[in-house]
Amino acid sequence: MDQSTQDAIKDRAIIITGAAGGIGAGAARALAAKGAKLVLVDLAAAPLAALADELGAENTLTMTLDITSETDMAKMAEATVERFGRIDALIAAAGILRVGGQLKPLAKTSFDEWRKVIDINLTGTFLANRAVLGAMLSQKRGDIINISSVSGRQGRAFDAAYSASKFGIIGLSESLAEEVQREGVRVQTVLPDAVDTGLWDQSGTAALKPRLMLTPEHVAQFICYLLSLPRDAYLLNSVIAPIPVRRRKSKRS
Amino acid sequence: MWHDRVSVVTGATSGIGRAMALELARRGCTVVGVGRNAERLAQLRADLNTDAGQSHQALSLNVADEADMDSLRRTLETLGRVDLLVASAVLGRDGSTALPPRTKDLTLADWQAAVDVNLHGIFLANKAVLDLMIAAEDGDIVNIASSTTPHGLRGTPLAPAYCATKFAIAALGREIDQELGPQGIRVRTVFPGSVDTPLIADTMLDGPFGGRMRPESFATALVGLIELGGEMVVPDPHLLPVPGQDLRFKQDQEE
Repeated sequence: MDQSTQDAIKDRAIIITGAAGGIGAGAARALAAKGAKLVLVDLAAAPLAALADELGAENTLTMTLDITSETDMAKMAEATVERFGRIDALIAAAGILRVGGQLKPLAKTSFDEWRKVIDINLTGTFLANRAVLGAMLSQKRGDIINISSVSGRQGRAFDAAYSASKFGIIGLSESLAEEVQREGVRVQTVLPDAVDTGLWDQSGTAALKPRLMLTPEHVAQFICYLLSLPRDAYLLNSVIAPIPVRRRKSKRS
Repeated sequence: MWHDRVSVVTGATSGIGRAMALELARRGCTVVGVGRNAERLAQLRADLNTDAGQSHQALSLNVADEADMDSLRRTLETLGRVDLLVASAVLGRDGSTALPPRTKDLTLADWQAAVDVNLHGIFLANKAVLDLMIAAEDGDIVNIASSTTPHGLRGTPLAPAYCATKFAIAALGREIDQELGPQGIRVRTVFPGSVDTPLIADTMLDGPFGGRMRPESFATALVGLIELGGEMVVPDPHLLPVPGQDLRFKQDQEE
């Protein structure tokens, strides 16, 4: 591990939403391995507890919270400052693909189904971001990493709500970045291509699941890279994708 | 992953190229730096070879000249390998005018000079490394374009030739990446925002970006991106300065 990675992650207080599975859990494992102090937030208590057991209690705080609740998000920030004295980074990884476990065209999508995707993916990102800003602005330093998707730039059939929410995360993040980057709070957005997580089970069909996918570990590795960038640099809306099969892997790495 | 590798950096006498050359040498690469200014080449050679026994080179070559780039190819053949090309050479700015010319005032000669260095130079430098990389079935090519605006490649006023060549590099990079990927060569176009280099010194070209990043920061970030390239594809990365975090003027606001 080089020096910049060490400074940016070791002993830093980092909140991860959606920490119980997928990208969030991958990020938690990678950051814990590099010595971060973690606040793991998810609505699913059992897998969260299992992850906390795995990572050890000493540098880990777990909170069963709803990211769509203003009071819960306020609690998340307060508890982090109380336990670790500051908030160095937020990885806003909570998200869902769809409700009901079944592909539906827009015409058959209920208002409730639409609203739930927007609430969790977009409004949840807003509330989690807003909650940490007080601490980060007073520290004059912080990192926010929001998880959008390649669907945040290009729509796809049967994914209208998901895609709209992921487009929204890019707009939210760019706006927030312009507001706070001058004050030391860096806001970056990752647009992963397909990642092999439980999210795909929400489609109710294996047919859509691509053969070639990123692993949560890949996304976690990229998140560590973004956190470790020199303070005067950032990556704008980075797409990350798996190496295509027809492409030879490096013989060196 | 860098030890005993050979890296070529064009435009190595200043700015991004020089920072990359020094960073790669620091990580254990053998560096072949390419540039044209004799004084700055001598400085680069001295800064690269700080210890006895180091064999970094600083070559006086013009990336826009086919014979010069063929000479680079032969030098690399002598070394027997090339693992990384950072094609960073860009036409320098004429310091005699405060503002670059408007399109109506741009001479064909000035337009051509930009195309020669910024675009033909990328093509010829890429060609210089391809034989060895194809034979090795491995290699990284990083062509330095420009973000032109804080929101990505969109074009910016008063830089018609610069913008046209940078758009062309972006298209070229996508093509050769598709073409050479199956042969084990990763081609990346990187889009920097404003970096504190002689190219934009004493201008307000960093205005829209709200500041400049240090060339060393850019080099650190780019080396990290190249390392990630073995694991995943990060297409067209835009590496921008964080507004207001201009570290030339203030210390890191560490607690």
